[in-house]
Amino acid sequence: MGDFSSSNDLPKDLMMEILLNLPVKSLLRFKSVCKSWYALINSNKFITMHLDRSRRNNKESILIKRFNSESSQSKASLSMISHNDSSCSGVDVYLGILGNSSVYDLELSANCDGIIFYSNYSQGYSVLCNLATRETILVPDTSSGNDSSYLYSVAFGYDLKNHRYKAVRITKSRRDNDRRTSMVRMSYNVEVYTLGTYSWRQVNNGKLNSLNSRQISAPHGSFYFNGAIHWKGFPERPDSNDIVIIVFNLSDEEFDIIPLPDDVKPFMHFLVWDRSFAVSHVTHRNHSLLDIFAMKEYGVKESWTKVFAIEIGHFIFVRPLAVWKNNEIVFEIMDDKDRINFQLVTYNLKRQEFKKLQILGPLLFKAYVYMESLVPIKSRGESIA
Amino acid sequence: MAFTWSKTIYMGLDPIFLTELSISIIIFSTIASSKKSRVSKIKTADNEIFEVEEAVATMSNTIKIMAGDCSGGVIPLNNVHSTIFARVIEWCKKHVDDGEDLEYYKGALKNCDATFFEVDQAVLYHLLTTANSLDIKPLLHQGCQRFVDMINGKTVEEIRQLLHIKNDFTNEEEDETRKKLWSSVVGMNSFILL
Repeated sequence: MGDFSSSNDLPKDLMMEILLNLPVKSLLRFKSVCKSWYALINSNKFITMHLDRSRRNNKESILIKRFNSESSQSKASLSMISHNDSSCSGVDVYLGILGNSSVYDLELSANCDGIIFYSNYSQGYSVLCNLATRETILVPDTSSGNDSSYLYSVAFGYDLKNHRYKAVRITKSRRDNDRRTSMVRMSYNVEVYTLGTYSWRQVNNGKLNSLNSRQISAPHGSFYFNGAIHWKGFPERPDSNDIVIIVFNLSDEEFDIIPLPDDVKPFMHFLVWDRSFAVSHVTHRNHSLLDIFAMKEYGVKESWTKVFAIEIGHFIFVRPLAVWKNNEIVFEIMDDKDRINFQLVTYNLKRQEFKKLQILGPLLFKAYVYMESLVPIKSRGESIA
Repeated sequence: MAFTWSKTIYMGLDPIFLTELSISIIIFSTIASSKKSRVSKIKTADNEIFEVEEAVATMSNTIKIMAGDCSGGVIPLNNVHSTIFARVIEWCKKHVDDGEDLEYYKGALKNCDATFFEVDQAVLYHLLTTANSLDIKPLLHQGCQRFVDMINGKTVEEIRQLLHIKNDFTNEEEDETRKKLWSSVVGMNSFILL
């Protein structure tokens, strides 16, 4: 028989291949095994490949924000349901000082590379946290803003061109009365915080203010995808159906508009479908049908393609969250029979049936898609490519 | 190809026709023999010779390339031992018709291949390194999956023992790492202000 020697004989690329399939929790621990493992797991190359691998294998988790069962006020608590958690009991996420936030005030942006951007709308502070590695930093309060302005929307994402993580704050304040229409016009103030710098920067919001007087949907309305933040843009006239997507590109820090497909109605949600930007909506004609349209070529109106349609029966609210194990889609729904609480259901594509996820504990308030990663928050002077 | 010419056939036939006929017989017999399943001859590091169906053997991209260079001769595998090679071939025979979809192999690992990988860690190493050097992607994929399941969730000391890894941290360095891990766990309470 041959000589069964030590793991040092396992080729480096093979060992890396094995480590790339491990969850973050094990990898953090395994940093202590030996120096070469420490260096490997800390390397930017490994971190990026690990993130990419998780994306390809649909290893998304669902974060649910709900009422804190121990608090008589409307304080928030957060739980995580992992993609391979069949019991769905969820793991409590420790919120620290944010645990004092009310469920209505606490905003999360969680779909960018495993980093969560928590904001408290009424208190105004924010926290950046990699939930898996527990690295946390407090984001400074904005210095601008007068008394008549209020925090309107927050978002977080990755600037693809400059390789930086950025957070965005939009505050709304009154502008002068428009004498022509005698309407009080609201104006937006946009600031950006680049991870690694230590303050918020004003950006040119002229274009946003002039986008045909559109209102961006907020709060809880921002959606990060592929280097840009997206909001629904409603026309000023409530009876108009001319809804668009307002986009803020994190690289050039400019606003723009992406048109929606013609037959998409206002009641719709953003999601990522097979790595494309997609919207889901319930058709007007047939209230029990959910469609998903994906933009095969980002930004090109003609490339909107209907990729999915299912019967949703007696659900009055349906929001797709994530695709699990390649065959199941997780939805946040509101059932006709229980018009108070949101629930999570999975739809099995093969068997074409819904199944409720029995989550123990307080009921759901809102759900977010999250994927764990090793991405560091405290910059080591190297950017994550 | 040896053939005997019967005097009676030969006599009276045009020589050019005969030449053409013999050439086509040679071509035909060559084609006929290649339609039979070809057998690859492979010699392992301990000088054992394996005769394996070509379709099975060429699941290894390495063997496929080497067969092209050797053109019918014996393919030498200088760093694969016969015991491991036998196992690898056993796996390949089972999966010769299963195609390239790695997702399928992930599922197969749970079902029909589960017992194949219930080997001790040393054998698993050799299966992995052999699958790697012979470039058999599905086997490598399964082996890695098995390995991942084996080490996931283990403690640091268990990993060191299992994989025979020497701890090359000094005591101070190890304490630092442990402190860092712990402080980040409890760190949610004390945000680092900028």
